Amino acid sequence: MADLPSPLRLTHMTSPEVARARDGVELVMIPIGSIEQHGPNTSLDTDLVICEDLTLRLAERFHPRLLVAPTMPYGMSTYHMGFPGSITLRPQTFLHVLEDCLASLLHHGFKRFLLTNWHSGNTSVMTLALQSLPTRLPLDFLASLSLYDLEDDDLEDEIVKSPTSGHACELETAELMALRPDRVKTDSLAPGDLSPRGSRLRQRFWRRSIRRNHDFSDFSANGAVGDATLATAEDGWRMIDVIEERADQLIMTLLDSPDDLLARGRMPGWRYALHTR
Amino acid sequence: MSNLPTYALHKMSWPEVAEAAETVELVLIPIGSTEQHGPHLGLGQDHLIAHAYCERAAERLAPRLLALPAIPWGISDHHMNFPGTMTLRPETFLDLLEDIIVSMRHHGFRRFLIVNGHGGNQWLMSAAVQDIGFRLDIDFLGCVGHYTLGDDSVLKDIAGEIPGGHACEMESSHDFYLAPDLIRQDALAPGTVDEAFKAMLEPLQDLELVWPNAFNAHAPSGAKGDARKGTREAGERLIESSIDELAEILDHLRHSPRWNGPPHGQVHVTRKS
Repeated sequence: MADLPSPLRLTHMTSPEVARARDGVELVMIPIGSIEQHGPNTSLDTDLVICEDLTLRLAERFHPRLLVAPTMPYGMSTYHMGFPGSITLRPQTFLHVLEDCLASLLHHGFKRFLLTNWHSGNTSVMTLALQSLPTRLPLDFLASLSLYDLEDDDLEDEIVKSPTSGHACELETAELMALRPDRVKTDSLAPGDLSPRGSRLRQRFWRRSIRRNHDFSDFSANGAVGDATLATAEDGWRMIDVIEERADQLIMTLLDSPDDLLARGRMPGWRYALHTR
Repeated sequence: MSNLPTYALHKMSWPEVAEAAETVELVLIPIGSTEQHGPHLGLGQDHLIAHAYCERAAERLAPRLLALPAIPWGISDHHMNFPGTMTLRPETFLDLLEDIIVSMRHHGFRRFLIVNGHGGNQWLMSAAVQDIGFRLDIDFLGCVGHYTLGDDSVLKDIAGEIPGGHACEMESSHDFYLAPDLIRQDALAPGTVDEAFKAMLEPLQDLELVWPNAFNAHAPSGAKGDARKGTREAGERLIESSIDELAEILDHLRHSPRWNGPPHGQVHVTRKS
């Protein structure tokens, strides 16, 4: 019998392979993507491919204990809708799709799940999922990891020459150059065209946890922030190395965490217990 | 003493609302929760304080603000192992917010600020702003935790050794100032932390894992922090300095993109009603 394919990527496996892999899988990772403008610099699926690639590489390093489920292609990208091509889901839609995916995988015996992510706009709806879905489904564990949170601030200060960053920026473009150079529009790279008033307000509100219904075009006329023309693949790899080292530490710590403590901390499954819908 | 009207909807008649529409710049929607607050504070803490805060803001900044009644439930699943806690599904909460906003929009109000008193709601309200703020014909939808504004240095003076966070010094201070009936004076006690659980949790959080967990696993009595150390003076400082900052923010917002429209209206999603 042939070895199981590495990484365990559900979309590329046969059903018998999933059956064989099942007992050895300790965590199912679900990459959460987005389809949204990234200025003239990179493709609409930038956040999706970075998340997916980093998740697949992680699964390969921990083979065969991690299984990667299909990537959720859409996230919440409402504030990018001022730019053609962006697609966004309503929170309810996102929650329903994720619930159905989890329920399907639970049906086949998978019980522990980690959402991975690269788009900061997804964190609200992902956390809503983490708060509410364990109350309705008999899963053992559901958490999330936004991989950009593992970036190192000091290294970023060293690498990034742009005064601003955050979207279609120097660092993100560098990381994409490293992982998926075909998605980088090297002939069209441009710095962000920020409106001064817009960026002042954004800064103030981020500091004070106020959110409002801004459109990204209110801050940046071309949708980018910072100067992607300064990005290099070499710098991208330097940051990716840090992300991957920390991600490995997290997975090892998680897989070694005592089952009884994880069970005690699990969000109450109270709706499931009542079988309410 | 100002004789400007304090606009709090539940106490107003309809002609008063029609008059308010001429001067009100922003409608405040208080949200909170009905959830356990340890042995010493009432379950309605978060929404009652959020509502009292909004009424006080409407009084100080009259006649520019209109305070709506509070939504009394929030996202409180993590407290469901404590009797009395109630919780909404995110879908329910989002639909509820939308119905409230469209009702007031129908009467001509176009700018809304969700004012939150429960940390567990922050992701819900952020998603609401991103979604409702773009689908409806309104100019402004924002959200903020009232406790994130203003000067909290007073908490450093009164805070105990155990880090605060729930049914704590801050919340009892709010109550001493705005709602003393919510305090069980004879039951005030510091929270305890399950050290084994904390030892498992902290390394995971340091490595950026996001894992909402059952509150009783972390803090068995339901409290984190020391509510005994709350004071009325601290509560007054916290609330009033927060409203000071809210006033400042309102001044900034007047010059922000789309404060007076046009609304985004770029995401047209038909909904079955």
